[in-house]
Amino acid sequence: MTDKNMKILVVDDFSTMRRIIRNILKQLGYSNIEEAEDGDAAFEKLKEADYDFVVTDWNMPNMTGLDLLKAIRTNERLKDLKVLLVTAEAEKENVVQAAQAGVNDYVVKPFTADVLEQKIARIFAS
Amino acid sequence: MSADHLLKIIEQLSKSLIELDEASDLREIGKVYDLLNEITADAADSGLTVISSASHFASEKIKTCILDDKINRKDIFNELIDVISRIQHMLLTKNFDRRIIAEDSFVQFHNDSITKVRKPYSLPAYLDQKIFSEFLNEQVSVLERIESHLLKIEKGYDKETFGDLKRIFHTLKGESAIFELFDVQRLCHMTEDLIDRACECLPIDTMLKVKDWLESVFNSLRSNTEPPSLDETLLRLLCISGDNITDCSRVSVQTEEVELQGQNTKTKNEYVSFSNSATVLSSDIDLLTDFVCEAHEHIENIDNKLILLEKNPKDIDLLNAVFRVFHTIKGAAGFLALDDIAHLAHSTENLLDAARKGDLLLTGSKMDIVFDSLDTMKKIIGKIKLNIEKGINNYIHESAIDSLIDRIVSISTKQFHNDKSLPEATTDALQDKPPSLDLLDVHGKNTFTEALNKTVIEQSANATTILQKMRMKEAIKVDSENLDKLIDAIGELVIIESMIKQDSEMSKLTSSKLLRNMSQMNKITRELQQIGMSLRMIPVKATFQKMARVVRDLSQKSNKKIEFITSGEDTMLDKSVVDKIGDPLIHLVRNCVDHGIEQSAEERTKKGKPEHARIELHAFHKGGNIYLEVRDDGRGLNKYEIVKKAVEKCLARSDQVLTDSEIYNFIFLPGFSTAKKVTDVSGRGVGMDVVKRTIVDLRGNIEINSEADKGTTFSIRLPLTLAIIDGMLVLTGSERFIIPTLSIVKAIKPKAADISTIVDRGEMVRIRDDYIPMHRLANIFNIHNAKQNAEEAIIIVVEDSGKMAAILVDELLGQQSTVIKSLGESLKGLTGISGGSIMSDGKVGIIVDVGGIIALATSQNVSNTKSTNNV
Repeated sequence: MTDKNMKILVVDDFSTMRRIIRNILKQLGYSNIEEAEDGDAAFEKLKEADYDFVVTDWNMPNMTGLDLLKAIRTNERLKDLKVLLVTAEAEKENVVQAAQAGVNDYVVKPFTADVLEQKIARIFAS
Repeated sequence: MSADHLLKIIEQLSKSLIELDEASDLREIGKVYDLLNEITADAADSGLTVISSASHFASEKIKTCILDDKINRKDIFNELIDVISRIQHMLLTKNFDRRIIAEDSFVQFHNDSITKVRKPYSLPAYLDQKIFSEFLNEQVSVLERIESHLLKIEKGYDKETFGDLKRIFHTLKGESAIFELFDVQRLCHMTEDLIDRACECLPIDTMLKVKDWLESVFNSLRSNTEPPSLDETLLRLLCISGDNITDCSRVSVQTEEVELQGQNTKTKNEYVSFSNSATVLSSDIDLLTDFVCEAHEHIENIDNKLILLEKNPKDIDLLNAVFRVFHTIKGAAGFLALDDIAHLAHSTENLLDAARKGDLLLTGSKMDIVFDSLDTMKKIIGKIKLNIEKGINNYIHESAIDSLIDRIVSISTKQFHNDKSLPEATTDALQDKPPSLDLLDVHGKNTFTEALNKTVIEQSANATTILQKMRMKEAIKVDSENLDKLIDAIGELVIIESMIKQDSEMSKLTSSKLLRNMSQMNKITRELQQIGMSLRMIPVKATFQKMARVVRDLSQKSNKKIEFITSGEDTMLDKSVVDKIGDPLIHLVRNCVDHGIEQSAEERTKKGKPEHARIELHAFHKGGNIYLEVRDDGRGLNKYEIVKKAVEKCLARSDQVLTDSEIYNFIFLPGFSTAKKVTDVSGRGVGMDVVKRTIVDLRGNIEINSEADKGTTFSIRLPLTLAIIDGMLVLTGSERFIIPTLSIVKAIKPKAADISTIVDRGEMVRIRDDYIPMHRLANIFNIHNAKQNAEEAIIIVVEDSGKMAAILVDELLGQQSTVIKSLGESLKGLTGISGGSIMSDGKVGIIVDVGGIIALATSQNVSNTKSTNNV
């Protein structure tokens, strides 16, 4: 069972998407959720506070999800942070890149709460 | 690369593979994938092709593992362990026989690879329901007006009613075109023609039949049933009626057109008649509302980017930005079960993706289709918004979206193949539309690439700033009604604060603390007032973007090459002004395209002008006003034609000497048009009067500057805000009036010698060497205890629409900002008065409407001349 109080950062440039993901996470019992509107903003937040889990979109202005992931993996303090990539069907090729860059898992839009729960369980089991 | 090194990697790989299981993290799998790729590359470098291809297959297998969630990963991992050990064995024994890596395991690998077939989409959507039903509701009163007008005309010709009738059909034609009610559009167009030709002998029966038909169409549209098709006999009737009056050749051509159009409308009718299938929207209305707002914002934003992109179809940053918007909308739409949007966004995204990869170039029709997709999406979103407002939880599908998606798909796939087989296609397409011809002209042909690079850089910089601005705009959405109430309350607060401050009791106060607090309160109130004003201010950017679109569409329609330039998009205007200024601007821009710009490029080159015409739209602050300028570099207004027309219409005498601005102002009169040809776009002389009226209603002003063959500039002056004006408080007799400071040129103390009376024109005052008409405020408002001797009084020189006038008042009391209050329904529309204001002592002061007062005084002066002379 994962810690329901873990601190989660949801990164997406589209506020509706952030809200959707936040809602799903809440449905699963997670309440300690913060948001960031792109990779840049997310990385700033990650540097400032301790997070347990990052859920990030792929395609964002300024700093993409992949760049954020790379930044996280090359940062000494953050390198083991769990990262879940939210992606669209069409971007599957990107997932390989993300896997190489060290993403913990990915989830394809649109997804249900169940799917997200499985993903989180898997990420935090290993 | 040595075998030892390979062995080392393989050892590492085996370790990782053994640790992997079903629940493994993607991060671990990613490492394996990396290692396999490394082996593939290393083995290939060492010439170990068998190992290289084996590990390549293995890495592909891992890739499917990453890509497919549902696959049984453990099986694959086990198989991989097997394969890796075989490779290891191969390296150790140095026996590179293919068979060692058993075919049974690998052939399977190959065939296994999963390719997903994307299902075709088949979903429809159409029209913005909210606007559509608003439009339909409005028509009830419009039809009533038509009927009453017709009946009135039947009794006797009335120029005003006639003009209004024509305007109604003109408006209806335009509106129905927007809603793709082509039958209605067609009929209105013909009716308009009929009215034009009919003059005093309008066939009322036919007209009433037109009205009845329109009524039945709107009724059936309202009840969602199939509207009646265009009645052939009615069309004949219209033509025959027109025929009887004049010009039969024109009419017969039109009949053919109507018949053709009639066939078209049958297919278009499908758009209007709604199908009954409905999907249930996501239950979370809040979320949906958010989505609608946000998506709408994004769409507005890319409209502009698309226009930039069209100029510069290879700009990768712009492409990315546009792509991202479609992509994001698709993602969120998927969650909210808005399949239409998701599918439309998806197909457009694919098209854009192909463009991004360089497989196709977005030009001409391909760009149009992206615009179409955007528009359709806008409509669907608007419709959803309406449904939310109505509390309806279902969303009606339209079948039209299908064909659009098909078109998009066919373009992206067809183009893809074409380009593969014909590599020249791309270069051809590029030459189709070189970015910004101007730059080329300036730099000379040799620097084509330089110019191209420059534009690319400029535009991408532009795109980035747009994106940054988008990010900063984190806003709270507030009910606009609440906002208005707040601003109203602030206005009241400001008034009551100054009333308290100026109360005579206040001067008796001695407590320094209280006085200090009072001054603090004053400061806060001012601040609050400023914030309140700024709350209503929005940038004109959105309106400008709309204009860019209008220019684009029109330039294509009229086949004119036009460059559209804007500046000052960030200029802030009161929201209600922005809302109302859109239509007049569209009208002006349309006129520029249709009449201002020369019909052909040859005509322009002959005059030594660049082939590309320019239309400019500027917004800027000047002297407490906001100016919007529409400028073209076309033919300029034809003064001679205008005067001729004015004389024809008995608006001017042929011997009259008119100033340029007086001549230009004729075009603002109802029904005034010098256009030789009436087109769909403009030329009927309906509209410029509406433009003028709208601007005047906004307490603004419009001026025209034109030079033959150089171009025309329409300059619209608007007040910063509608709620507050800066006014000069003046005293006449015992009455106080407020004259808007904006229209005041100067105030002087006159000498008796400067004032003279001219027969028929009333009193004149000489200022420097000019004589300008002088009006006594006291006479206009019938105030008896005012100063009669002009030398004791003060003259305020005001300007309106380029004309100067002097107003005689008793005293200047001071300048102050006043909150405008309407005088209520019963006193509305009084000439010379634009509103009232509560003064600091709580009494009401009248705000003088300068333009109105000049008009009023001029009409009174003629009758008053004698009495003034006697005084």
